[in-house]
Amino acid sequence: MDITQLPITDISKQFYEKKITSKELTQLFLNKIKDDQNHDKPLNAITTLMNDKALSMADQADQRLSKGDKLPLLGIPIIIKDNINIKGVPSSCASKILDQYVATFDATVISKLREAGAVLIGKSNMDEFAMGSSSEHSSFGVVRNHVNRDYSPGGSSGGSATAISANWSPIALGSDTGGSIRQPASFCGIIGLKPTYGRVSRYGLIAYSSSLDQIGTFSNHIEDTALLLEVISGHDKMDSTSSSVNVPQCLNSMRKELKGLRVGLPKEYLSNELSPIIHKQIQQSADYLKSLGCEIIEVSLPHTEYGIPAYYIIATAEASSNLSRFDGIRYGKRIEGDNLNEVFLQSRSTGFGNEVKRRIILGTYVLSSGYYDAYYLKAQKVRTLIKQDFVEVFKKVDILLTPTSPTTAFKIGEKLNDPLQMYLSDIYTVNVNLAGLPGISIPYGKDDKGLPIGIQLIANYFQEEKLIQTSWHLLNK
Amino acid sequence: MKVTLEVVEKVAQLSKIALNEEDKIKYSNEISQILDYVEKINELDTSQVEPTAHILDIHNVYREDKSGRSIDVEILMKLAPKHKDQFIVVPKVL
Repeated sequence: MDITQLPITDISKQFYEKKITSKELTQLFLNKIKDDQNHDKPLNAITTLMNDKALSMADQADQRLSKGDKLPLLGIPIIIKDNINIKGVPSSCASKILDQYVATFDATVISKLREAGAVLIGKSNMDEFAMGSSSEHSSFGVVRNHVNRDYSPGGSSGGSATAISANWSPIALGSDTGGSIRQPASFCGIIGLKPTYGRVSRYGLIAYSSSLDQIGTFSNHIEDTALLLEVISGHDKMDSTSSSVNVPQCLNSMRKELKGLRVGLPKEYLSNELSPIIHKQIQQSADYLKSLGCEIIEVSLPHTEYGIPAYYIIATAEASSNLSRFDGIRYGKRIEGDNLNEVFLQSRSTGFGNEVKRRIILGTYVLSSGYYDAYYLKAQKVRTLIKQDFVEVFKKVDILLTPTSPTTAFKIGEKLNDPLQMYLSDIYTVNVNLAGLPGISIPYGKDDKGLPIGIQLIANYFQEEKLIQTSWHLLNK
Repeated sequence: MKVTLEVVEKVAQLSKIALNEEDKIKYSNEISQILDYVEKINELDTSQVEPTAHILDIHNVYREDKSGRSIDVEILMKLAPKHKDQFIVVPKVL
């Protein structure tokens, strides 16, 4: 079998059996990425290819492999979303305002990957500052879906998702604020995990909406998701919102029987907006879980429909504050002007794209005096209600089974001029962020056009083990 | 129209974003539409509900008042669009 499609444990085995070196493997992936640029519709998934740096990291890994060192990701290539800092490598957030910016420090997840022996091979394309659901709002241009290049890979982590679907590396990192890992994973037919808020340090992740953002994983094999999650989790003194709850041991528990697991089907997630073929797949997966001895229970999350409205108030409010740091003074692009205010105005107007400007203006509006109570405070109260829905439902069930997105991938350009329609593709994912819960999207069949269908599992706080265990069973049907 | 051209102009200025006339019309339309949609939350009675700013039960974290190593000033200066020695150059403020 093609080594670029193997799970990490099988690749590691080949390293130790000296069938291939990490450098050879890294070169294979780098070549695949470079070759795609000759395609008439390139995926455009990578913003910075770390060619020499990657090969030198692979060299070091090979030296350690030859000494018999054992590390979880030793010599394994990984792709990183371009809003996560790698020291000495550009972090663009797919924005013109950061086009000259080179990170001066490693994000905590990157330090952890280095300690685990991983080989960083490139930064991936995305919606500018992670704002979008299609990876079309990028200063590097539109990202294409590997399954069908006329379709969007979803977003905002579309570059990482389509790269994993194309087997450009076994694993990748993304970030998820309202569905930005799970929705693209669903569109590209791969596995995408958003851990519990606080499970993974956000230090070095360029912030969009700090109370919602979370770094998570992409892979083709569930055991690789488990492995990567174990590597990147844990408390970090550089992020005081990171949790000190024990790091999950998903690899050990993944194959355990599911018998007795209580699986909830929230009726609000199976409404008319849902495409019938996705509905069918949800039903089939529920039937399969039942055959494994799970109890299937219909449940209700009554405030579901208020998630998108609350999200677009809270996320844009936080974004308007977070993105005020991009002023053209200390780093990034500066457009000179006669006075300081002109420098700010011109640098930001030229540097930010349309979607980002719209969200900053909306966020400033909902926070401005006279509107704060009506929008921002009200949305925070609705957030409480959404969280309480989940708290109540997890008294009755262990896990929730839902669609990831109401449709399969849409065509490039299809929703670009209708922001509201675009926002609605996150209708089943945003509430998980508002509540801070862990969620995973796994591929489960295809529609009549051959486009992948994703199903989402949601667990209670810090119960990623349950997500991975249930996913393992569904994927090894 | 919920968000008039004047309001968009004012909020854009607060956001330090300059808009041309065409942008103003575009954003005033789009933002009005989005606000119409998000006002759905007003259907809910939240008079007895506490707001949630943050999902985890966290509180302030103190660290020892001890200086440590940070990133070299020289490296940071290289990132500034304009600098002289250890200072960032900006247009005259006063």
